[in-house]
Amino acid sequence: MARILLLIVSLFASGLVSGADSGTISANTQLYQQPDGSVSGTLLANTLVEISQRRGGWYQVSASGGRQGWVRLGAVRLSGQQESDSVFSGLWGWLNSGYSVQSGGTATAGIRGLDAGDIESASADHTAVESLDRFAVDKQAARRYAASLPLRARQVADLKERRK
Amino acid sequence: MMMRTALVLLTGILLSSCKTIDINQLASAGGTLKQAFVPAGEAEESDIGREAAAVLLGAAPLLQDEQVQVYVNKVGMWLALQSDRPDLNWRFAVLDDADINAFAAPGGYVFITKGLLARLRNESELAGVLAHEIGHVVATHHLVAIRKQARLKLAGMAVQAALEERGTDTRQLQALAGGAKLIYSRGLDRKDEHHADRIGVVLAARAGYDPYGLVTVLQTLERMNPEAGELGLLLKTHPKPADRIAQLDRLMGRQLDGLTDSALGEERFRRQLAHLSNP
Repeated sequence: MARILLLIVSLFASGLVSGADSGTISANTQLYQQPDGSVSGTLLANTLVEISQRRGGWYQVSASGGRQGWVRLGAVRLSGQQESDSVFSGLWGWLNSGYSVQSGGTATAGIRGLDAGDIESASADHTAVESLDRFAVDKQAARRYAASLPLRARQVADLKERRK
Repeated sequence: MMMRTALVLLTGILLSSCKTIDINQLASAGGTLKQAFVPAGEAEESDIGREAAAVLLGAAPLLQDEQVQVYVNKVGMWLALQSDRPDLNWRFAVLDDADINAFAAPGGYVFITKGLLARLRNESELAGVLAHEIGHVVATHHLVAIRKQARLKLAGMAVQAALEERGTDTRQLQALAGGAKLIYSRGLDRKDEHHADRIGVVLAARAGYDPYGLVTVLQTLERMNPEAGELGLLLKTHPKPADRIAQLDRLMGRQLDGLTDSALGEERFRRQLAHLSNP
């Protein structure tokens, strides 16, 4: 419970402070004026940055000394708690509801995690596997649901590990 | 169905480890000779997958929420349609577990914990996670690994004893379940995880989603305290998030930046999960 409270407090605090995400440059990286625009400088590893937005594979950042621009997504290691605009904060209660464990005739709720021991000692539950059919959707339903977003299928080449 | 799995496995073990066995003995051990030569294929994959999925569902229950379960099936099926194996019996499900994790089982089973679901920000991130797991299924990572473990377990018994034993099916299933437990608790080969990341990014992009969904999920994991209990099993069984991000950053380069009309699906994601905020 103490951990949950602490997290709620820190989420709240980060929202009050800036509402923006922050991070650290993980390795020396080029700073661009625009995504894929001209290079305006270099941010050194471990530079602290504030992130104002993401556009595709780019983060718009500002660093100390007024340096602003865009860096590649993979160049930034995010820090601190997840930003407060995620649905996360609203789902704390749900997460906290955890398992309902019948214990001595009373139901107690609490967080419990799935660890290696739980898997090793598990008894195969074939009935639960059968029950998955209840939620299955067919291809047509999936296509209609995708179209309603809208999502459109497109050609994208495989990502291949390059030979060294 | 179980008999078929047993026979396929047993046949494989016998053919690979004991070439001098009398074929009549093999047939009488498990049923008819015809049955003994059912080719290993999707039927075997499906049987092994069902057993592996049963192990996972024995360890963590299904989330009792039809709306969310159907939602992940709609998103997951659309992603699976972009893969090389759209005709598998795809089943997606949310596990009622607060830890952060996702799993795949052979034949088309994909699971995500509610702990991970609750930390996602939009549908493209959900797509990234599900597509990574679909990648494992399509590339038969767990199938190969579980089959190998089951064979090792069975090879531990004398072949003759296995043939004469009554209730051979039970032994085969125990070996499969044991193999699945080992793989899920210790993890796949790390290169399989990187492979699934590569497949996942491409499937999500093909499906019309923002191609960076998986990368931003990995960044969310990277920023969390690695000592936090919720990440225990995931970090134990996967490469470090930073290494996974580095691979994707290197291979994706800017080749996916030109994709237009990519969807984040933030609104829909929030709408589908909104009722969970006030359970």
